[in-house]
Amino acid sequence: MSVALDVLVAVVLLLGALFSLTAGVGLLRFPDTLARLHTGAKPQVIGLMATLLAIGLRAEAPLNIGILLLVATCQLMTAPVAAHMVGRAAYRSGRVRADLLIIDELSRDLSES
Amino acid sequence: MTVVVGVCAAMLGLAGLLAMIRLITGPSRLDRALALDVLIAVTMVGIGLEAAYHRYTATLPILLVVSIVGFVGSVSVARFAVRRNSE
Amino acid sequence: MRVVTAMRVVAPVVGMAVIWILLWGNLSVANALSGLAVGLLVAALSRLPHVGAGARIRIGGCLRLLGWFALDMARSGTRVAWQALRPGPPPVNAVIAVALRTHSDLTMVFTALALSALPGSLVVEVRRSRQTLYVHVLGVDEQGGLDKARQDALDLEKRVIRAIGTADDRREVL
Repeated sequence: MSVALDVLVAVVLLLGALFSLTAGVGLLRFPDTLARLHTGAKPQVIGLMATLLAIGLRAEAPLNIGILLLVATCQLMTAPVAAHMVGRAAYRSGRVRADLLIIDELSRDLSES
Repeated sequence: MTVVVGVCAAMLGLAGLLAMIRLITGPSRLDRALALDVLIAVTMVGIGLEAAYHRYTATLPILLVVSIVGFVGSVSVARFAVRRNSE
Repeated sequence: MRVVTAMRVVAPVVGMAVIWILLWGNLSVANALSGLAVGLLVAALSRLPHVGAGARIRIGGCLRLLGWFALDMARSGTRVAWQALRPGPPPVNAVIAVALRTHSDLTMVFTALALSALPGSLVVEVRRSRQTLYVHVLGVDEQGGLDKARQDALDLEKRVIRAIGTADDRREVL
């Protein structure tokens, strides 16, 4: 039983670290700021969730799970807002490579109005 | 478990290094803000990894504080960048 | 109506008290009371505008939304991770306009939030007057094209409406 739990925790921890690593790799490899945002802001949230899950699996006291939930909720509510703010600023300041977009309906609508 | 944690720590270190490279090379202010965001997230996962390894939860409030600091930081950088650009 | 008004005042205070107790990490009378006091103080000091008029929370819809969200998160997270790690040229992206059908601000905010939280899609601009979200999609061809991406966003909106939509939303979309 405890061996199975340990294996589960190990797998979850490795997954969390792997997602964090892809965030770093994507951050370095993707060509424009908007694309970087996708790997920069999201897989790390999954990585953090996985790590929190591992802590939850190993923790003993029941109310410690409360603060894990609090951290997870806080991260889930703030990460998309931060990503949107940075993405909006990036788009507005032209940090997007138009040759990598196959369609851009926002600049079309912006130029119409 | 020790080996697993070691491997995880190595991956996190590599991720932090890659984020650091992006932080240095830029090219724009927003890229740097994003790189810092990833660095903060890697730090958070690292703190979580340590907490899971030693089975204690005393450091978890730090995660909350760090995540809010990161949020406020990147939002204010984003607002600052837009304002500078529209002038 | 009076019950609803009372709920509007009480619910945030109780919510903040719960967060306070979770932060302290143990449930005691002193913690609960001080949490309520802090909650009342914050509620009295910051008068926030009331959003989400007419929104009705449905437990079943919320649970379904959460389940779908977790599944979507895992699926698109793996895809974006692969796009970052695989060799070859970077993925082809697009910015698409998604015209939502809802007229409720709360539904729109939650849809945009969920869409931004999922890897592979990011809301870059919102036009409130026309209920339009402008979504940046990473790797369009792997996601099954533009129409698929647009349909995914609309499906997400439908799930949000099932969870917290107003009566108008439900009449229009479901």
